[in-house]
Amino acid sequence: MPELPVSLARMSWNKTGSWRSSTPGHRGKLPPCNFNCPAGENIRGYLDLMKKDQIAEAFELLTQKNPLPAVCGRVCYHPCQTDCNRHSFDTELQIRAVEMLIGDWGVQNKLRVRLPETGAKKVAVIGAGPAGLAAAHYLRRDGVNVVMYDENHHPGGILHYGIPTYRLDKEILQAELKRVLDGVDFKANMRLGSDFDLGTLNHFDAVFLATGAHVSKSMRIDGGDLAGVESGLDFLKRVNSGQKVRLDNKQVVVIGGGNTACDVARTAYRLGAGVTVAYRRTENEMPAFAEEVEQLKAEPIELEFLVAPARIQQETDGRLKVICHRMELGEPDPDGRRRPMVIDGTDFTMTADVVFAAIGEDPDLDIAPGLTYASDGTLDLSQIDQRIRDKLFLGGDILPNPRTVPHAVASGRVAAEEIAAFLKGVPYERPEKPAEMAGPEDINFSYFARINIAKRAASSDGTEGVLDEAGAIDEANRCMSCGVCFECDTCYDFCPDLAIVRTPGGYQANLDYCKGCGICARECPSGTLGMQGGQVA
Amino acid sequence: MSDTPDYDFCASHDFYGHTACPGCGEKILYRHVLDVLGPETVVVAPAGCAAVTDGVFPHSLSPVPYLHVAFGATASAAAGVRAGLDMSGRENVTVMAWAGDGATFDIGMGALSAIAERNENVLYVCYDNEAYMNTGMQRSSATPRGCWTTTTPASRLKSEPKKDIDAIMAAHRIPYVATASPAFLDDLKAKVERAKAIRGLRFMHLFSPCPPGWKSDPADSITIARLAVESNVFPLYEVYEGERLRLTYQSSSVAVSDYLKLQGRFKYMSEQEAEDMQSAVERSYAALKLRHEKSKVCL
Ligand SMILES: Cc1cc2nc3c(=O)[nH]c(=O)nc-3n(C[C@H](O)[C@H](O)[C@H](O)COP(=O)(O)OP(=O)(O)OC[C@H]3O[C@@H](n4cnc5c(N)ncnc54)[C@H](O)[C@@H]3O)c2cc1C
Ligand SMILES: Cc1ncc(C[n+]2csc(CCOP(=O)(O)OP(=O)(O)O)c2C)c(N)n1
Ligand code: SF4
Ligand code: SF4
Ligand code: SF4
Ligand SMILES: [Mg+2]
Repeated sequence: MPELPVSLARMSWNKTGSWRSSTPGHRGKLPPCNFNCPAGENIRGYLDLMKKDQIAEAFELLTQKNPLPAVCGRVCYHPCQTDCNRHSFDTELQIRAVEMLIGDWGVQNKLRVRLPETGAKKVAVIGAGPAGLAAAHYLRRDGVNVVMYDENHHPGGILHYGIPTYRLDKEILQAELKRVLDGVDFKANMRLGSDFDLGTLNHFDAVFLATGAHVSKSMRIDGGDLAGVESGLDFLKRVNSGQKVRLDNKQVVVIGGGNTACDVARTAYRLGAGVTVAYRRTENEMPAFAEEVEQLKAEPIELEFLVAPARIQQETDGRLKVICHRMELGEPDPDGRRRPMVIDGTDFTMTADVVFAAIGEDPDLDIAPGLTYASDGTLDLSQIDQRIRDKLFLGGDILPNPRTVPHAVASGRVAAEEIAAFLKGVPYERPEKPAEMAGPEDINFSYFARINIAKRAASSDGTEGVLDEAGAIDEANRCMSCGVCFECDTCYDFCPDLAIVRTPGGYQANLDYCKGCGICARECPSGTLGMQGGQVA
Repeated sequence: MSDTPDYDFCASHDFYGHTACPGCGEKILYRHVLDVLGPETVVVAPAGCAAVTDGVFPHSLSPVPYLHVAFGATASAAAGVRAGLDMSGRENVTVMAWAGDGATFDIGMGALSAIAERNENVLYVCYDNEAYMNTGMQRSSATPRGCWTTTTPASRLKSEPKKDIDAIMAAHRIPYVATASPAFLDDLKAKVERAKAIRGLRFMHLFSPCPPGWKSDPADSITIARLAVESNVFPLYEVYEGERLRLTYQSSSVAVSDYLKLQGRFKYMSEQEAEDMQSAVERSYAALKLRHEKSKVCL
């Protein structure tokens, strides 16, 4: 002992980690935006890059999962925004507008994907809708030779021939598709079932079938086949093919409540018609995306809810009389929507020059012999020639998937991964989603300033948010990085025991000293850290 | 998030293994203050949690000399260390007194007033956990009115208001008085930087959450500190030369009850007492704001 009591050593021998009864760790929850994006985009990731003004890197990250950002930035129903945690703070992020800006930036800069040399493997893709496009693109990026067949002249499927120009500009679409189809051998005007059949594709190592759902459901009523009663989707196809269609001063009745009905009604209105949409349930049950319904309602188009056509008659002057029932909602159907029931004695008549049926579409199974439905409504492939069947993959609207562009993109991308594994002869495992997303209760809002959405400019035709690059960066700066560490140092700064270490894999507790006070988890702004009970050595 | 430089003095000097309770505010404050002051520092500390949890003899957490002194003598001892350092030509070394509220508001008050009057070149920091925590949570003159402690039990809660130590110190016309909170580290570190650069007596009053003494969840320490500031129970400001007052954070209007409800020590307060506290807080904050505005004019 020295004469004066002087400390000789430090305290680090004292491993206070032994006091701990709960331990901080990563909760592993997904940002709600990423969790909800059907295309599987890493939205939080590219917002972070946008924040850092790295739009090229943002484009690269985005297009690893979705090759169609300029398209989806316009027509996706943006479920990514529904649970954005910013919603319970000020307003949700305008993610789709940021996606569109990034997509348009890629188009304007004529970006090209750096493609590898192709190897020996060859895949045929049938159908150039979003599902086929995504599959072809990612297969080609993986070094596979891809030949793509489509019955139409332009690629895009519904994007080109279904969705009207006022919602999706054809020049932007085709410019984006040019990049997506880089290195893909696109064969236009080739219809499976008439110009070629599955058997002729036997020399391919795999076949991806994504021909969508294009056959309009028939109304099955008297007069449903009269001249002047037409398929809504065929009408859209004609308009989108550039045919001169005029409906000046015509009266049009559109039957249905889905996306097709909305697009048909708004297109007919733009071609000069007076339009009435008749739907047999109420606005709440309309299968169209909420945003499309809003836009429909904003136009001088008449909406008749709880109305169903009973029969159609032709007048002597050639006009059509649509005799309708009034309906009421009864018990819920198996799909949860309440079933419409006829109210007796309420029939009334609407007069029309044209009636468009837009009550849904089915896949065309006649394109391939042996393709049938199983009793449960799924596709039955067992009758297809086995040599093809063993290497046949399907995706997009031909399957009973939710019918949206991002779902189709995801199914094409996943199919590409599956096919790539198949070509290599290795088993394919679909990546599992973490079960939970980070909710508002996980976020520490104290660290964020309330800022409402960035500059918002309505485009000429009511497309929701349009941002310039500065606006997109402002918007990205509002992102709270839900569930994902953004290296803010909060946990590190507040730990009373200096037991948080910054590691390349994220911030970790030094369990030698962490006493388990839980301040790091309580304060973590993004909800990345949480406490786990029990002693962890 | 911090826009101040990356201070890593403690992190790079084996600052591990202290014995403060989980969630103790004092050690958060101490680390960040030392990070700013750096190696050319001597700490003078009286009995209290800080000193006791710094280490078990012959070991110390501190990467700088840490002098343990008698409870009431912190200020005098710090002045003495200052004189010794100055005589050996080491004027650049910061002498920091690091004392609890009991040691500052109560027993050390006389000595502190004396060095303030002489404007000794010392940085005196009081970490205020609002009671004598180390000896078992006895009330001090820093304990707020309506608060439970072991000497102001539920049947006889503290009836006297908290002593306004900052006004007392500012009234000595010392060059610098500041309040700071562990929830606002950038503000805290900026104030320590300013204090470090000033000669004479600098007094800093730091809000120091104490989970066992406050009957609060250790995880809530920073949240409580933030709410204290946001509700104006503990406003952040600084006073130069006893005159010019500057609020360094304009708080939002969080209710005092939001601050109170995370702490078991306030659970015996009546609704009336809580309302009285709300209005007392509003009155003193209005007075500070007035001085803040007037000081802007005086500049
Ligand atoms: C009018 C309308 C509007 C819509 N609006 C939206 C919207 O705003 N947002 C949204 O997310 N979703 C929308 N959808 C749904 C979305 O467009 C589809 O879910 C998506 O396009 C499906 O992609 P797919 O690749 O499976 O099929 P499709 O896009 O239908 O593409 C199929 C392709 O296969 C080709 N093909 C078909 N048969 C053959 C054959 N025998 N031989 C060769 N080629 C063939 C077609 O020419 C077409 O190019 C809309 C749908 C419709 C009908
Ligand atoms: C002269 C003297 N009286 C009493 C004590 C016992 N004592 C040691 S620490 C302490 C409480 C200190 O309270 P405070 O200064 O507020 O520091 P805290 O423990 O709360 O951090 C007391 C009373 C002492 N050490 N010396
Ligand atoms: S705040 Fe950011 S990370 Fe969180 S849901 Fe919204 S966009 Fe996604
Ligand atoms: S507090 Fe900040 S640095 Fe720590 S884990 Fe959370 S987001 Fe990452
Ligand atoms: S009793 Fe309070 S002040 Fe003392 S070490 Fe524990 S938490 Fe810190
Ligand atoms: Mg105390």
